[in-house]
Amino acid sequence: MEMIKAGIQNEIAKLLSLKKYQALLLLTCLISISSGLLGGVTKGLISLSSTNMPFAVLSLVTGFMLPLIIAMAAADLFTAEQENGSIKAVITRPIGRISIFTSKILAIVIYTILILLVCFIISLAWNIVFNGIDLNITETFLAYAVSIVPMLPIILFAVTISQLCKSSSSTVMLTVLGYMIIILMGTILPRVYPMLFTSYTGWYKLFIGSAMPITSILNTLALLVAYTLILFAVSSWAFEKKDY
Amino acid sequence: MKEERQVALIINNITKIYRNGRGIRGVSFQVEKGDIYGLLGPNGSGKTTTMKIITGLSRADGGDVQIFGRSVENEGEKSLEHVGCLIEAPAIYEYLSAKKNLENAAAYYKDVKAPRIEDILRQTGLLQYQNDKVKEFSLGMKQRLGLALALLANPKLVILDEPANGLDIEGMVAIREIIMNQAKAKGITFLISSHLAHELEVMCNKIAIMKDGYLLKTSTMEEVIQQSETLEKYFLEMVGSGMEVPHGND
Repeated sequence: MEMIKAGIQNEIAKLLSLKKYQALLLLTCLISISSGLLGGVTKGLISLSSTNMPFAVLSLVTGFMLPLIIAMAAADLFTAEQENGSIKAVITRPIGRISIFTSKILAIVIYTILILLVCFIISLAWNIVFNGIDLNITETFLAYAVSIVPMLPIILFAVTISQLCKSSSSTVMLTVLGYMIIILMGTILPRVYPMLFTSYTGWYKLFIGSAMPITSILNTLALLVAYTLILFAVSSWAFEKKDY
Repeated sequence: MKEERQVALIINNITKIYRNGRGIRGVSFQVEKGDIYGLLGPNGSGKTTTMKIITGLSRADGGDVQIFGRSVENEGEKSLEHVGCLIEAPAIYEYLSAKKNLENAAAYYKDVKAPRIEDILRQTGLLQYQNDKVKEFSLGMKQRLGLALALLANPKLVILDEPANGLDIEGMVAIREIIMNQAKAKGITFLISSHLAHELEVMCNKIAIMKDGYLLKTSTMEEVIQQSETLEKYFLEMVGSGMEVPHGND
């Protein structure tokens, strides 16, 4: 456990020392602010009204931004390090490969949570400053908190792709392409739609409102956990067997 | 009576064949504690593959590697507890500072703290550049940082693959001095590969010759000098005449 903790700290430090990821945090702030501005200008015409702003931002971030950021992080922490040989700095230390693998994944999870947290704070602050407190803060926080769950299979999907690619650019391209193909598949084949992990980026909606559909929540959770575990098993096996 | 020396590293019949048919076949040798052991061979002879298998970067198709009695295959991370290495180019994060690179590595050891990081930066002549990003470093400085990373956790065995690769004369001398000082002061065992015979001749007390994925011969440096005066002559005699690569056993 100590080794995984040390690994997570190192991986997070590496991610945050890359200018790209500092810029992405800034970009997230700007998107949250511009969503508020757009909502004010259009007076809610494009579903960015003052009261649903935190949810509109959440929808934008989980459906579009985060999958892209996750693909980039997986490419940088896995494929790029293999490409430039820096992964040897960890592999040759007295830490098991599964611990290295787990700490890299948890670093991506933590960065994803950080992005969600930034969006939550900014959109909530915007709402409070310009509209007063007219939304349920607990419910909004819950929506942001549970949004990490559908991101987990997406993270593992990107990591699995990263194990197949030899360059970081191909990891990003293939992850985005694969993600889009799965979404398209769900659109073309409505029967398949409920079985795809990409269909649940907006599952936070199940937690909004007075009546929470517990059965739906549990079913969705089971599906997302299953995808996460299967993809974890496949990608960790590939990482474990790899020659560096 | 001959003094019994503890074995640091046992390579037992390791084989690794790549898809293109290259690799290593049936390589066996052992390194005793306190040795500075050289692995000499031309490019493509299998030195790096051998070192990658020893350090767990690559898996062997067959055979076994033991470091201080622990199998690399079965006790992966434990077998690497007392090992430092520099394989091919230094494994460093160019966007981090030298100090941060060392701090990242130190996080995997309980007893490696800030004073040790400062100490190793001083020993490798990088203390004044500790906060500079590695991407601004010269090749020689990167190589010294790679060596600092290998020596950081006070290893008992250090594995260096072509440590003088691409360096100018001053850089080669600096690296050599660090290795010799560490071996003398701390009794660290070194396994060093190179295609430069002179480099190994001045540093090593034992030598193994590799060619085309096979280990041709192991000798002490005394035997080499007695027989051929220089390691270069010894190597050329062995590779050029008589000592054929043992084909047919793979």
